[in-house]
Amino acid sequence: MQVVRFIIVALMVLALQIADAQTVKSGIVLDAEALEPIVGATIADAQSGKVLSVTQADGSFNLPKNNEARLRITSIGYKPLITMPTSDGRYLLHAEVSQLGEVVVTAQENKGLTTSSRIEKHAMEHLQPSSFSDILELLPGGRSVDPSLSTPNNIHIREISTPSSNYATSSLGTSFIIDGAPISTNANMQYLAGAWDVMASSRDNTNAGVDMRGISTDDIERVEIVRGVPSVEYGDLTSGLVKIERRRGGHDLKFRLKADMGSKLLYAAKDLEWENRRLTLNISADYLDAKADPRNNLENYKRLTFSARLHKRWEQERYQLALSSNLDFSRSLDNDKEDVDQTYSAEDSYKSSYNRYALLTSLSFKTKGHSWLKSADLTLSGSLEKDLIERTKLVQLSRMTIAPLSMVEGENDAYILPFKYTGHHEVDGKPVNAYAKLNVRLQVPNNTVSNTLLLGMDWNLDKNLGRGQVFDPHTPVYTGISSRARSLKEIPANHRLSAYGEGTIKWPTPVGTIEAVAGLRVTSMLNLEQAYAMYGKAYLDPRVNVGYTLPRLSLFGQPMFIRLSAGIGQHTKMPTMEQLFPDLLYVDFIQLNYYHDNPDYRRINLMTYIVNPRNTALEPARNLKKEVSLDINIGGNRMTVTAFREKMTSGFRMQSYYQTYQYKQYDASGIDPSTLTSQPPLETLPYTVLNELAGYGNYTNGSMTLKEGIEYTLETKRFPVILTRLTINGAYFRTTYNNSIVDSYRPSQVIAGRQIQYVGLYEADDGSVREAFNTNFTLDTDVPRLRLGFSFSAQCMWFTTSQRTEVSNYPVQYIAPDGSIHDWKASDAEDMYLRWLVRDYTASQFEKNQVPFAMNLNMKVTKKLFDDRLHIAMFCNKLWDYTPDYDSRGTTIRRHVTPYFGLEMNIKL
Amino acid sequence: MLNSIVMMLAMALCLTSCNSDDPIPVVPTTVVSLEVPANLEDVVLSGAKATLTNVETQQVTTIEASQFVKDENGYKMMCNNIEAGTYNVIVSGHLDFTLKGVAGQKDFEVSSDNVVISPTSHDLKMTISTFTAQGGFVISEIFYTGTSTPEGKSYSGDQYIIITNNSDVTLYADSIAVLESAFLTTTKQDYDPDIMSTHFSVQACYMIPGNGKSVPVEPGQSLKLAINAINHTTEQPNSIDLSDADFEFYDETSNPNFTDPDGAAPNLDKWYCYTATIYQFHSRGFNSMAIAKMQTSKEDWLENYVYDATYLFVFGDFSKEMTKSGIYKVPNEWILDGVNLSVESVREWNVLDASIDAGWTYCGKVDRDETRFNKSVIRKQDASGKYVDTNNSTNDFIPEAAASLLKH
Repeated sequence: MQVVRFIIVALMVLALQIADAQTVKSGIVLDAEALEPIVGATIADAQSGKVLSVTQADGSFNLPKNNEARLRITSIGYKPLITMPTSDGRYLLHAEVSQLGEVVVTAQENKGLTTSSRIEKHAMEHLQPSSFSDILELLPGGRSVDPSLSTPNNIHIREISTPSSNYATSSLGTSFIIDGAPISTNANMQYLAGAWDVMASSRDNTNAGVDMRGISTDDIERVEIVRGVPSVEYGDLTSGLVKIERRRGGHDLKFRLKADMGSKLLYAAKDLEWENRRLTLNISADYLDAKADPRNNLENYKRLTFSARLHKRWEQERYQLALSSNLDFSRSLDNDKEDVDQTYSAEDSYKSSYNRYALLTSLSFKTKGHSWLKSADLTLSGSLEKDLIERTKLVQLSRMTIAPLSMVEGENDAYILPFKYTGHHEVDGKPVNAYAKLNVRLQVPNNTVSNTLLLGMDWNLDKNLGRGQVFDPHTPVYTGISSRARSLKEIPANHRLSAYGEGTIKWPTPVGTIEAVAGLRVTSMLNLEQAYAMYGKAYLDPRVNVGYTLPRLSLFGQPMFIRLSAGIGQHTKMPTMEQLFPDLLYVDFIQLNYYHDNPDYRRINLMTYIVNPRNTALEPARNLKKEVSLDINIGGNRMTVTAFREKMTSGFRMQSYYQTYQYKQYDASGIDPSTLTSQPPLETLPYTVLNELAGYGNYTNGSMTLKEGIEYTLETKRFPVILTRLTINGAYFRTTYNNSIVDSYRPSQVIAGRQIQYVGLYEADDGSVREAFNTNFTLDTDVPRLRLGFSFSAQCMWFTTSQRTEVSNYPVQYIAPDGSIHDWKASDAEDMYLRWLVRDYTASQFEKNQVPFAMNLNMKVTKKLFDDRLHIAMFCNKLWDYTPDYDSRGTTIRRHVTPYFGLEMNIKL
Repeated sequence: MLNSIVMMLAMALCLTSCNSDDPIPVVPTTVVSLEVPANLEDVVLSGAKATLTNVETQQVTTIEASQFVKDENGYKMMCNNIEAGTYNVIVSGHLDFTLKGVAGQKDFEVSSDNVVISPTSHDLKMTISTFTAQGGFVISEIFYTGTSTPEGKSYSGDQYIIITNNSDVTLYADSIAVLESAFLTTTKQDYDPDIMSTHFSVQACYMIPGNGKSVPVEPGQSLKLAINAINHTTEQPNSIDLSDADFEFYDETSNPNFTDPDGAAPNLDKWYCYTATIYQFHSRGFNSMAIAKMQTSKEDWLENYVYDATYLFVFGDFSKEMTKSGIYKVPNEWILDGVNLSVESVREWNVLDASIDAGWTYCGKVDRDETRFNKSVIRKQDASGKYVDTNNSTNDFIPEAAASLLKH
C-alpha cells in the first residue's frame, strides 16, 4: 500500500508543476506524413548551432520565451528543417525516404528499442487469416502452416516447439493484451480428469496459455508482437507479449466472407463516428465454422464473437481526457462426435464450449501544457467465462470394473460398475478475472535529454466459480479416475499485485543518439497460504533496453542510419490456479477382490489414501532474456538482425513422485462359494500386510527452456516501374529443452506374479535440442492503377534438426519396496528385478536427425473493384514446392506437400 | 546281465535234454519281453502282470510285477519251470513315462494267443500296440478376437485358448505354459542376436500349476484356459459362459484400475508378463502363441532365460538403433506347439521358428477388421477326429472359424 501512497503524493506534486509552465515557449515536432510526434528531435539555433532543446515523448519542446532566432530542427531519418519559430508551434519534418501511401503487407520491425514485429491492417487483409494463429507466419522464423482449428492453437515465440506439455510455459508465458486488457487463462480448469482418449486430451489447453483460435482478426487495426524485452508495464509473462489494438471510428458497413479448405468465416461490422462529438462506436460480429475434415460434419470448431467499442474524447485547453469502453463476447465451441450409424446408435460425443464476456473501461488523461505530469491512464477490466465440457459415452466394459467412491481415507468397499451404461462427465468452469492498472507518465523538463518516467501498478484477480469436475461416480466415462468431484469455488482466488517504474531517455548528441529504457517491476502473489514458498515474496523483474544510433552517414548518395541496441530483462510468470491447487489424488489399493457368480456376493475392498499433490515449493517461472540488435537503413532499405538468448530454468512441469503405502492383501481362497449367503466378511479372512509403491504427479519448476537464435529482416523500398518490394526475413532458432529435476520411473513388468517393486531415479531426463533455419523471400507488388496487389513468398526451410540429450540408461538411485532409497551399483544391472530399471536408450537415439532443405511457394492476390467497395482476395499456399527425398541412415524419406487455398470477399458500404 | 541269462538258458537246455523220461518237458526259463513304444522316455512300469494260460491244461501261470526287469527296449520277465505247450499270454500293466518331456501314463493289456513254449522256443516278444503315443498336446483353438456387444462394441474379457491332448495316452498338463511372443508378426526387425532358431522370445508366460501329475488329460480331451473364467453371458448376452474353464489367466493386483475378476477356475501361475495392467491376447492377433513344457524352476527361468537385443528401427524420418532389453526366452525344445497369428494386410514375418510353425493363421484380413469378432482359429481334424499337426498352421488351422464355445 505504500506504493499507492507514493503515487498519490507524486501526482499531487506534479499537478502543482503545471502552474509553473508559463515561463517557456513551447512547440511540437511532428512527422509530416503520419502527423505523429517525433521524439528526441534536436532544436538548435540555426546560426550558432547551439542546441536549445530536444523534443519529448509527445514531440513537444520548450524554448526560453525570449528566443527569436531561426531554428534548425533535426532528427535522424528526417530532412533538417530551418525555420523561424511559428506562432502555433507546429513543426513538420519530412522523412528522408518517404513512406507515403506505402502499403505494407508484411510484418515490420518496430522502430523502437524493443524487438518487436508490427503487423498492420493491410498485412492482415493480404494474409487472409481465419484466426490469430495465421498471423504468426509473418514473424521472423514463421512459415505458413495449414490452419488446424480442431485443437487449441498456442503461440511459440522464438522457439521450435515441442509437443510435450512439460514445456508449455513458453506459450503460457506469452501475454495477450487486447486494447490494454490482458486475457487471463490462469483460472482455466477445463480438463477432463482421468481422460485418456484423443477426443478429450488433444483439446486440453490448461496451463498452455491463450488459445489463438478464439481471437478473431477482423477488428484488428494493428498488432505488435514483442519478441524481445518488453516494458515493465507488462507482467505475468516469460516469453513474449502480443498487443492487439482494434479499430476505432470510421463510417463503413463492412462484410467479409471467407472460405478455405477447412473453414468458412463470416464477418460484419458497422463503424460509427461523430467527429464533432469526438465519439466513435464500432460494432462487429464474426462467425467461423471449421471442420477437421471437410467431409466430416461431426468434428468441428465454431467461433462466434461480438464486440462493441465506444470511445469518447474530451479536449480541453490544458488536457485531454479519453474514455474507452469495450464490451466483448466470444464463444468457442469444439464438437466431436462418433457417427451413430457406425456405433449402433450409441452416443459417443465431446463438446467443449468457452463463453467469454469481457468488459473494459479505460480512462486516459493527457496534459497539454508544460507539466511534469504528462499522462495518467486507468484501465479496469473484467471478464467472466462460462466454460463447459460435456463428454457422453456409452461405456461397455470388458471386465468387472470398479468405481472407488470413498471421499475419506481408510478401508472401504468399492462400487462394482455395471457392464453397460451411458457415462456423462462435465467440467464446469466459470473463471472470473478482474484487472486494474494505473499508469502515470512524468517528464522532467530538460533541454538536452528527452525523458519519460513511467510509474504504475496493476492488480489482477483470478477466481473460478465453476462446479469443476461433475460426474456421477456410479457411471463414470473414465473408469479408474483418481480424482473425485471437487467444486472450483473452494479454491482461493489468485491475487497478483505489481508495481513498476521505468525511465525512458533519448539523448541526441553530435556523436549519435543514445536511447535507454530501464525499469523495474515488482510482483507478489497475495492470498496464498503461508506454507507456499511464494508467500510474502516479491519477485523483481529488472529490464533494460539501450540503443545507440550513429550520426547520419551516406552510402552511394543514399542516407544511411545505423543503430546498435541491446536488451536484457527478467520476466516472471506466476503459476496458474491448477498448478497451485491441483485436485486431491485418491490413491486406492485393492485389499480383496472377490468374485462370485451371484453379483450380490461380489466384494472389492479398498484401502484409500488421500494425497494432496500441491507443491508448496513451487516458484514462478522466470525467463532471462538477452539480446543485441543491429538496424541498418540505407535509403529506405532496412535490415535488422537480432541475436538473442533466453534462458528459463524454472518452467513448470509435471513430475512424478513415488511413496510407499501399506495395504492388506486378503486371502479369499478359503471361501467356499457355495456356502456364502452374503458378501464374504473381512473379519474372518486371513491377510498379509503388503507395501506398495504408488506414484503421483505434482508441478515443479523442473523444465528448462533455452532459446537461442538470430532473427533477421530485410525490407527494401518498393522498386519503381515494377512496383515491387522485397522482404527477406527468417531466423535461425536453437531451442534446448531439459529437465533439471530427477525423474522417476517404475517398470510395469510383472515378475513372478507381482509388478516390479522398484522405482528408478534418473538424472537429466527428457532433454532435446532442436534447430531450424529458415528464410522467407516475399515479393509483393502493388499496382494502384489496377487496384491489384499480389505477392509470392518462397518459404525456404534450410534445415531442421532435432537431437535428444544423451542420458544414462542407469538410474542414479532407486527406491526399494519399503520406500528406502539406495545408490545404484554397477552390479545391480544383473539383478533379476533391478535389471529392469536399466533403460533401453542406445547411442543412435541421441544422434542428430537432420531434415534438409524444403521450399514452399505461396501466392496471394487481392483485387479491389467498384471504387474499392469490393475486395476479392485469394491465396494458395504451397502452390509449388521443392521437397526432395533424402536419405536418413540408409532409409529414403519421401516428403509430400499438399496445397492449401482459400478465397474471400470483402464488401465495404 | 545278458550273459548270465544266456548261461542260465544254456544250463536249462542241458537239464531238459538230460531228463528225457518225462513225457511233457518243463521249460526251466521262459523269457517274456515287453516292448514299449520307442518314443516314450523315462518309462516306469507298474502293476504289471503277465498271465500264461496253458491252452490244453488250462493251467494259469501268473507273473507279478516284481519279476519284471527293465532292459533297453522295455521290460523282461522270467518264468521258471513251466510245462512246454501252447499258451495264451496276456500282459497288462500301467506305464508312466514322459513323451517329449511331458509326463504321461497309460494302462495296457497286450495278448498273444497260441504261443508255443518249448525247450527250443522259450522267448516271447510282446509288443504294446494298443497305443502309439504319437502326438501330444496341441493348441486346438485360440479365441483372441473377443465378442461384439449388441451395440457393436468389442468385448475382450471372454478370450480363451484350448489345448488338447492329441495323443492316445493320458498326458499331464502340469508345468505347461502358455506363451505369447515378445515380437509382433506385423513388425519385422532384425534383432541381434537372432535366437529364433533355438529359442522363442516371449512377453507373457502363464503356467499350469501342479506337482507334476496334478492335471491329467485323457487322450482327445482338452483344457480350456480362459482370460476370465466367469459366465460372461449375464453381462454380455453375445458372449460365452466360461465359468467351467479349467484354468484362468488371473492378474492379481492392488491397482483398482485393473481389477481382474477371479472366477472359480484355478489360476495359472503367472511367471512373467510385460504389463502390470490386465493381460489379454492381442485382439487383432499380432502376437504368436505357443505352449511349452517348462523344464526348469520359475526362479531359474526368471533369473537366467532373459536376454537383450538390438535392432535398427526405421520409421518415416527416423532410423535409430534401438535396444529391447529384458526379453524372456524359452528353448524351442520345450515348445510343444506354436501358432503364428497375423493379419494379411499388415503381416511382415513369423516370430516362431519354422520347425514349430512354418505357416500362420488369422482372423480378419485387414487391420482393425471389425468382422473378426466372434471368430477364432481352430485346428483342423482328420477323419479319425485327431487334430492335424504338420507344424504349419496355414495348413493345420481353419482361420476365421466360428468360435467353438459360442452358441450359434
